[in-house]
Amino acid sequence: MPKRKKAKGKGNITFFAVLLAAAALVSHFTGVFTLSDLKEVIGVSTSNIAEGEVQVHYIDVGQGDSELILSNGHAVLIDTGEKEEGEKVFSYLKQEGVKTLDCLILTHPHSDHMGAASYIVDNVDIKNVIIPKLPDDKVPTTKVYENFLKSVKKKNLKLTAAEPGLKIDIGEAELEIISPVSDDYKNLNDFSAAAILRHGGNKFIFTGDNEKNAEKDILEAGYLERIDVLKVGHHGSKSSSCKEFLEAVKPEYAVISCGEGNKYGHPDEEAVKRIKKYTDKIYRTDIDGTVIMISTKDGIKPETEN
Amino acid sequence: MLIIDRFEGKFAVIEDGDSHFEIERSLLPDNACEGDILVKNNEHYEIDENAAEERRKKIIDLQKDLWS
Repeated sequence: MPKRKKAKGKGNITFFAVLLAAAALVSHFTGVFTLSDLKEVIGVSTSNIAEGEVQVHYIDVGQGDSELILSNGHAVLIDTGEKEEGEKVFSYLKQEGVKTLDCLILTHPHSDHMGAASYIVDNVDIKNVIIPKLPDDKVPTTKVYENFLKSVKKKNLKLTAAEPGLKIDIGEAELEIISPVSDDYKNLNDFSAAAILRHGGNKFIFTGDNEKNAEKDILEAGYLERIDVLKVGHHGSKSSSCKEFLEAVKPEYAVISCGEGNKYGHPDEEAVKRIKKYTDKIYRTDIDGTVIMISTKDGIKPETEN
Repeated sequence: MLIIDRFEGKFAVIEDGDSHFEIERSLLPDNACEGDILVKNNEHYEIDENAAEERRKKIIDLQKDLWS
């Protein structure tokens, strides 16, 4: 387990009333899918989480993304990082006491998000695998994608299409898929399955690598709301975190998942400036290591590895 | 096999067997897309359209029975 340090003088967020959260849930209920579409998962995961608490771990996987959501008896992994990070993510799951993943969600099929998916599917008990369903002409040809599919087949798992409105019960929290809202994109980043996690009045958004076009489409589709913790889109690249998106989510905290000294210039200075309009509480996995956000009824408490 | 995994700013990220590397996007033909398969010809890269089409078809076939 990473040595956790307390937040560097960063206060807790305001806790929203349960009534407000309930109202938000109702207003965003689309009813497209229900949990009955997914396999029964209650009680199959084991994790070291206190009752009433939800943790989101932004695992330091270098230049890539991997987020672990833990609730009492439940675990969901969003993305796996590059192929080389497979053993690290596997060990991380083990140290957190995760025996079964309720869901593995792959936001989109780029290697920095799903390179280790084959390894994780091979080595971890998984109940559901959720990925965006791409048009045929956008289906990846890479070996990492082919290997992931082969592993899914070998384990007799099925793929569930990430579609807005799909809701996943994670113990005391609920995760709602909010994108892709269109199948007409050129870039695979824009097909990213974004999701909002709601725990009491605390809200987290996971953005994958959605860029400006997709961010605006999600906004126009009415899926955005005020968010407490933003997983910054596309590692903080300049093509994501557009001002309209940020204005809608108004993050209290932001987490950027990127590799130390990466050659893509992530995070982009201008993107960080846009985020700073809303918050100075910006965490970076290249600096802070693994970042953990602990959600309780009293608000959100950040911890970092470094 | 050299396969374009993605573009990151001025770079293209190329899957090369079990590893990957980056090249300047400017070294690729203008119409290069994610999923294209490349053939290196001296210092230039060319797109092998048939190879990508064949491989995509194989992966779509593998995937189609996996949807729930």
